[in-house]
Amino acid sequence: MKRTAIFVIVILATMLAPMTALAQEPGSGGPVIEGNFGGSVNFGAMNPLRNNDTATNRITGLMFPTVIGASGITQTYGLVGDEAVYGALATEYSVSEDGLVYTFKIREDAVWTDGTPITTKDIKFSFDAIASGAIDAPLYGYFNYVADGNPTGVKEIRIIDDYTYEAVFEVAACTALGLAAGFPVVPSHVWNYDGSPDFDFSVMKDHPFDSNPSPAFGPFEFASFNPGEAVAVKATTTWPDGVVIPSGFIYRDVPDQTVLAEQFLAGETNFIDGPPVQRRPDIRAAANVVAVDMPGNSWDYVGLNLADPENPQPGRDENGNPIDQGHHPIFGDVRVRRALQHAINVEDIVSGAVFGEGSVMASSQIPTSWAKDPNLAPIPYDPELAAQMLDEAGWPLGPDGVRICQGCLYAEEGTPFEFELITNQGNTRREAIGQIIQDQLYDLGINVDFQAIDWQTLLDQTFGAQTFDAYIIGWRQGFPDDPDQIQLFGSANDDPANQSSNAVSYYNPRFEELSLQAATLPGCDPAERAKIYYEIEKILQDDQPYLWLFVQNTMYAASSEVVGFAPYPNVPLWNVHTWTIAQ
Amino acid sequence: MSQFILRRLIQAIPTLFGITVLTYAIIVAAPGDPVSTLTFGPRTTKAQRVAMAAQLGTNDPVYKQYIRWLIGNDWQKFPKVDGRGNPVLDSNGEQIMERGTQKGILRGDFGTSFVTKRPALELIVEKFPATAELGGLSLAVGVILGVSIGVLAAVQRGGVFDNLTRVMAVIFSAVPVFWLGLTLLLIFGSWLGWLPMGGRYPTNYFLTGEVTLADRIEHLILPVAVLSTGWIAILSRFMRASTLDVLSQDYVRTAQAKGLAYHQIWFVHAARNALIPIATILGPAIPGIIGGALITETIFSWPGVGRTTYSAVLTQDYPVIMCAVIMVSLTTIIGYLLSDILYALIDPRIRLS
Repeated sequence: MKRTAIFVIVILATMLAPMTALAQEPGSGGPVIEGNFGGSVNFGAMNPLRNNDTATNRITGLMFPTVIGASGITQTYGLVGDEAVYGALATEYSVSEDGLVYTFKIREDAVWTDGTPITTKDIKFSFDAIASGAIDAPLYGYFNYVADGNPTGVKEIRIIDDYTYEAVFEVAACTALGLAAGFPVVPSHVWNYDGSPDFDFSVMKDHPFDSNPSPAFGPFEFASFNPGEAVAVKATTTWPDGVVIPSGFIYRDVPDQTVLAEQFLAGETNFIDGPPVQRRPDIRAAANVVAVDMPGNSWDYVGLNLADPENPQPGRDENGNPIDQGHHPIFGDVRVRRALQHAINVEDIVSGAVFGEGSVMASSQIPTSWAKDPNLAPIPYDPELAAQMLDEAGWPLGPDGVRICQGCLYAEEGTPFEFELITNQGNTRREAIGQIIQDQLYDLGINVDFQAIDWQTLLDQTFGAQTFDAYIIGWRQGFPDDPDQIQLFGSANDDPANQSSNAVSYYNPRFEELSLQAATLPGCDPAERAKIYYEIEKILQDDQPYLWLFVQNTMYAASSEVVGFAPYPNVPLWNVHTWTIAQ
Repeated sequence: MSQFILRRLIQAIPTLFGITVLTYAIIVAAPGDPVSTLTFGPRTTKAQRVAMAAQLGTNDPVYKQYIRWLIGNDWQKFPKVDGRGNPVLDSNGEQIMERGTQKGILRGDFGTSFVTKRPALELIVEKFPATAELGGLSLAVGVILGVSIGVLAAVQRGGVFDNLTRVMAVIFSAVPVFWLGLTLLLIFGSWLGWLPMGGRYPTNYFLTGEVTLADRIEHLILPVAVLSTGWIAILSRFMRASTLDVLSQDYVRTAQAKGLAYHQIWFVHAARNALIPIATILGPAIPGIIGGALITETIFSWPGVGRTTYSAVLTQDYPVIMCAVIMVSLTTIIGYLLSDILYALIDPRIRLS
């Protein structure tokens, strides 16, 4: 009996052992299949230095590292070994006392899939390629030091040894970490880089690497590219951070959102990121799906022109002195702007425009930002208070039910409270927002002429010419993103000739002073910086250059056959190499 | 015939030139510009926009951009600057001049896509097989079914089949392609699970490279069915009218009176004349095939020229737009030429001279 039991146990162990090993073998777990509704019918050149659109980034992010990674838990930068971080090379970094030199040490066990070690030569090559301006890098102006435009950019990368380098800045700024180490790294030996300062980076243009990006460093490497249809990457065996279980990752072009959702529900794809809002209840309710909702990065707002639309001016002259912007006859008065915020029911807008899949914003920071003040509440919907505020601001109701100027601050006496609200045609979400706002303000005696126009025309009228009254557009924050918003609200970025982002012509010296203080805080301690950003957030909420609306929630969903799916905001694929997909 | 063809091809040159001038003027005159599309974002700096405009060459006057597109700029030299905009000097401290990199369309260089950074010609040409497959098959199905239905409807004029096909043609013409496509996808792809929900290949193909003929046919059934409905509707009505006209001719009645079999009357005497209107339609159909079917391609995730061109228009990707315009213009010219040749071949009364 005892012998029989031992015999059975041995037989069972012999049978089970290969099954266990099989589950852990690279590429044994089935492919992850995601539909891409990125809007682009063509994947760009898959050299991550030359292209950074959303669709291409999804794939290149699985194949190429950055020096410093992104942590799903902290929602900011992370190093090798930090939890929920992958794709990083840096194991540690230090900052000089003056904040001008960042020193990075990178891991020594990283190799490209062809066996070539990854060294600081690859890092310098990658940065210098961007900085050369010769490869049409979209991040050219962002990373690079440009004397007249971007003084906080990286001045140069200096190699100390094969695994240590320095990033040198002209100006100390708390945005430095991402600039010093947030760019993707590519294998320099593909282009026979010799480290020479005269290296001609233009050889990277129209190179086969664009459509066959190999070798790689990541859980996956390039497998195939079917233009307009799909890009596929396959599991690598050189990934040092564990066995890559999925056989590959297939990213399919699905240009129609309805089809995207239906393909997922039918099981033709097994992972979906941000399905259309009207289908999310179906996805949540589906029996064979695991869906996770999270705050997103995209937020919509109403931009109010604070300046005179008849005479748009840049915010600063050649010497950097502020230029008088004049005042918009209606929105120039902050009391009117505050009244309008009370007048719109943002919860209703969220319900109507995004089917409830959104979170009301209090000010300019999105919920996932570490600089968001948790105690700052959104301006409440209070139409009675709004009416009272408008009366006090000199905009009482006229005999025909429309408010008119009687003692208002900037408009001529008798001017009706009417304005044009524009947004881009074809964006159904913003069109719904516009119609709802139009209805809500009509009840308060305000006539809104809402129009959805061509996107390029919208950009021309708003950021280009500043001849608008109000517009609805959205911003999408990057990740990891710095809470600095000088780009959006700084007077130097009120520049119609260059379509700069401060189209509303907001100017507040205190905002600019605090923004500079937070951006250059010695030591860049996030907790200390956050306190400053709390104050900035309150200033913006009070000054009301925008009507604060909402941030869209995102959803990550996977079919129940995917084991290991555990997304974090912005980093749903942090552990994709451990996913097992039942076949 | 050869003189006629040569004459038409020579005439095509100024036509093509005029099309490119007009197209370039229109796309540049359109509101906005590629830089604003590519750089719109909360973190975009003025330096980025300026640098991008210089990269793309969109900060030059329109006529310069067009000339550069036409004849390139590799015959010109420009001061070499580094990534920081500083002049690059040689060992003697003198400014280095370097040649431009564009050859221009007259030398076959269609430029690089602003958005994807890949050659514009490559972006269009790589979609041709998929476009030709979908368009060609749809046209073939449309011709076969449309012609057959039209002839039968004419022969059974006033009968049940004739009335049914008349209703069918109206429905096929009226039903929006996007509705039909989505409905068929839902029914056969989602609810019944009989057919795939879009794409040209099964998913595993992208990793394994393995595909069977059955897989390919499965993926073609729905998009071809949707795209061919328009052709069936048009061709069946044309063919019916043309057949009725031919069957009422004296020579057909004579053939009938002589006791010829019906198939002899049709195939020997009548078919060729009845097909003349179809020949005039098929020629212009070719550029339609090459231009792609945007809505069908979108619904069925078909990697065709139509979607590529539409995407380029939305993003103001000038090189890709111009490449697509030239391709479609060339195929239109060739299509109409083929139509004329076919017309002459079918109808011996027609002399191309």
